[in-house]
Amino acid sequence: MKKIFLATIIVAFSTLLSAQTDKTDSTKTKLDKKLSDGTKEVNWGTIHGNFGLDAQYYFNDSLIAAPVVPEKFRMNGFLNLVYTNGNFSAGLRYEAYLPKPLLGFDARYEGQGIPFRYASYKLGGLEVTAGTFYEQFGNGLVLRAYEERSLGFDNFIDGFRAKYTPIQGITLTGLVGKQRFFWSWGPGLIKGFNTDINFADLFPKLGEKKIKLMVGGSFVSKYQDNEDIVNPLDPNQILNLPLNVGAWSGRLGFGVGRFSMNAELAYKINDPNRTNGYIYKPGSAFYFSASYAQKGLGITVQAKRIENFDFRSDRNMTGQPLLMNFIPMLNKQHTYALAATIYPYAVQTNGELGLQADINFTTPKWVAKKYPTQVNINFSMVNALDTNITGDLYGYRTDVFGFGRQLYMDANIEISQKVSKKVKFNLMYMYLFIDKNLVQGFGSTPRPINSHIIVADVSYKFLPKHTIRLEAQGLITEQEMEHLDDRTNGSWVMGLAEYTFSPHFFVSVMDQWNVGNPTEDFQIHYITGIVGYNNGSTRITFGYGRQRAGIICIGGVCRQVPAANGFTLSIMSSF
Amino acid sequence: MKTKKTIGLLLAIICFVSSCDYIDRPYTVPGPNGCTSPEPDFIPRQNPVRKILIEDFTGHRCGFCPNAHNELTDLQTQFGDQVIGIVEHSANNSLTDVALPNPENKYIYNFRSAAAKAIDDQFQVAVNAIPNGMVNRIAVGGDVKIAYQDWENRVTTLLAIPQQMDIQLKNYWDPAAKSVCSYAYTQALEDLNSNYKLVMLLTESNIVNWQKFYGNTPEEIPDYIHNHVLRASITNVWGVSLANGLSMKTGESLINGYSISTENTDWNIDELHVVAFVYDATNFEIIQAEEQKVIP
Repeated sequence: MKKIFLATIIVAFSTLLSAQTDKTDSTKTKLDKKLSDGTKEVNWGTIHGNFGLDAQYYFNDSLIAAPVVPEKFRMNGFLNLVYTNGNFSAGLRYEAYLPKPLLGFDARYEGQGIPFRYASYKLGGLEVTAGTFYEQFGNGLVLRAYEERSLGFDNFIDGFRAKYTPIQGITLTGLVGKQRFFWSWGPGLIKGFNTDINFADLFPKLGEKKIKLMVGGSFVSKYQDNEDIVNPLDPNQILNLPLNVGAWSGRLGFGVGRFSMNAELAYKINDPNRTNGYIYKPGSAFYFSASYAQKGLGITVQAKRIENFDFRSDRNMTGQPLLMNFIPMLNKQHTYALAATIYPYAVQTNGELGLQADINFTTPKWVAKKYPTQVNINFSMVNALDTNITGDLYGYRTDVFGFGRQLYMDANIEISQKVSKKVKFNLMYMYLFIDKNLVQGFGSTPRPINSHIIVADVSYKFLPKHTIRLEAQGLITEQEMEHLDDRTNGSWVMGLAEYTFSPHFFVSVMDQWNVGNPTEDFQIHYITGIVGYNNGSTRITFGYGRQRAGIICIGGVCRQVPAANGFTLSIMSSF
Repeated sequence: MKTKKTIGLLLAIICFVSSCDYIDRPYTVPGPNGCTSPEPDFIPRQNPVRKILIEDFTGHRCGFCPNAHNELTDLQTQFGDQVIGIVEHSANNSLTDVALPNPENKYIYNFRSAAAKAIDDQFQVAVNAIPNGMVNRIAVGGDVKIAYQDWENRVTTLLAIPQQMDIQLKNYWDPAAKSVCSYAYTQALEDLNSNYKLVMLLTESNIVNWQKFYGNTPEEIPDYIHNHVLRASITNVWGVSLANGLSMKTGESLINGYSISTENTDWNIDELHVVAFVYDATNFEIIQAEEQKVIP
């Protein structure tokens, strides 16, 4: 504990020491303005914010196995307020989950209050924040505190953060704090330090030659008190736990002309935790991305290798809470329902090898002068690591380039074509392979699923401001006769009709039908209707329908959603 | 001044970097003892049967919950000892709260346990709505929770699956030490290639206390009989790895013994049961369960 205290004091002191020398008159905040008659106009600053509410009224629906909600009504809501005045800013967020969070959101959010509040001040090159904040170092491999409201994910840090820019092109960040755990904080203390150096800013001549060069390094450590955890291999022993677990990363970004690349390598020392079965093997993560872009053509190639890299501020936590880092997803984020929600990919933070290639191009003018065709071809695959179990608490050994079981593959092509001023369409074909048990955490028994997904999306603007859009989707896959009690089994079809009266109103009806479920009772129609109103920054939607049980993933981070039947109301607004 | 800056930054970085505790083999320190009674002999069963574990998340102030209790009783009548029940009063639902003292002293008994809370923290069953349950902790469509109306179908489906493992239990009660010692014999009935863990829990039946029951007259029952109440975990609630997490060949068997103290508890030793089960640590799915009274 002394070590942490000392580290905090030294970081804070050294940052302030450095900052004091850069304080000049030009950086003083001018809060008041002198008027021509000699009086002062007081600058009261500005307030802005946003508001969101999702509410649902539930009906019992045993056919889709919807959980019974005795209170019938639930809602999630929030209000963000941010006050800024010159170099000072402060903010808070009120949240309410009444009487409980919506089904599918973590029930530990139940209640209401102000979990998020902060004050921040800029002085020259120094920016200090006290309270709650979000932060990301590099690609997030060793630290990413962020919020994804639709997942119910929020892992902000509560503590102190100092950012210092001694000269243009160099940024130093130091932080100390604890992570959000619903309405309290996790048990671990996080300390982090990050440096980013942008050589194009340091040496403007590089910028003139369109050369970008960035290097960065991060170190993040967590401290958690000792506790008695029984050795899972021998109940007569308890684990000798590392109380301080450190992780660090180095990264390089380079770009010249139309080419750019970004690579990051990270390492984590022994971190026995619940997600890895309390093994002591160190973790590592590698991420690489390269892209080329010119008019009408864009190519991106990405790769990653992740080994034992689930990093949390509580060694006993699983699921979403208290994650400190983020492993980028190298799969296309699909928008069409059957492609995005039936078999989504959940990032395997404790081991995976992934590759992705993405090509976008527009047909040249000599092919289609008036309405060129836009084509996107995307391929991604993820395999498990090739591991050899050691049989002791070290866990396993791996071959760096060894590919284990295939987890996921997605090969798709999407074509967008405008036919006339009134008509345009999108067509998509996708081949998808998933080992559902391994990827979605249902077990180690292989459950391979091959599927083909076809989408046709046509929109027709039949009158100015009046557009109708029709969507037809099909997911073709074999029936799994050994999973007869699974309500997501076999082929699906989906239809959607949407009418938009610009700029304010829209109405849509959608039906997802598990037409190929081998259990006849589960060949269920999930019908949903929505009416929406947009006005400026306000959006209100009201709907009724059935929600299918499944998994929602955003950026590879997922949450399970139980089936539901009922009315929904959503309001989003900002000012 | 530049020197000061550099020294300050270097010190900060060194301090951060030193915040790492490297642990070398064997990674452990001596811990509490396991079972001290002599290890008994077990004879492999000639005709083992698959047994299913139903976990019923409940609360004494939950008026719909007795419907689930009754369903569990009905299933045990229908399927005999092939259905094993655990009733879990998690601290994650207000309906399990111990009410403040009141003139009638209703609902002041604390049925909750750390083990039930730990299980609910993981599976998020009671935190959403009760009554609700799990059958062999198998998720269907991404959801491990299952309403009691669907338990029978799930049990029927699971009983049709070939048995992968058999478990036998032998329990010993030491009245002087106030300690229960339980030995579990686990035998692979087919090649098992995942990381399987053994969990042993302690339950108690025939606890007479208050329970709300909508539809019953009266709705508040002072002498309701609470069965299969989860009291504590004998092993870690997430169990101990069988065969060090390595594969088990068909016919291979293991014996593990663990003990638990009943000191400073109000548990009725005559009504205590040991429930043991083996699950696949990669997905929590239970492959076999067994139950045995502490004092037969």
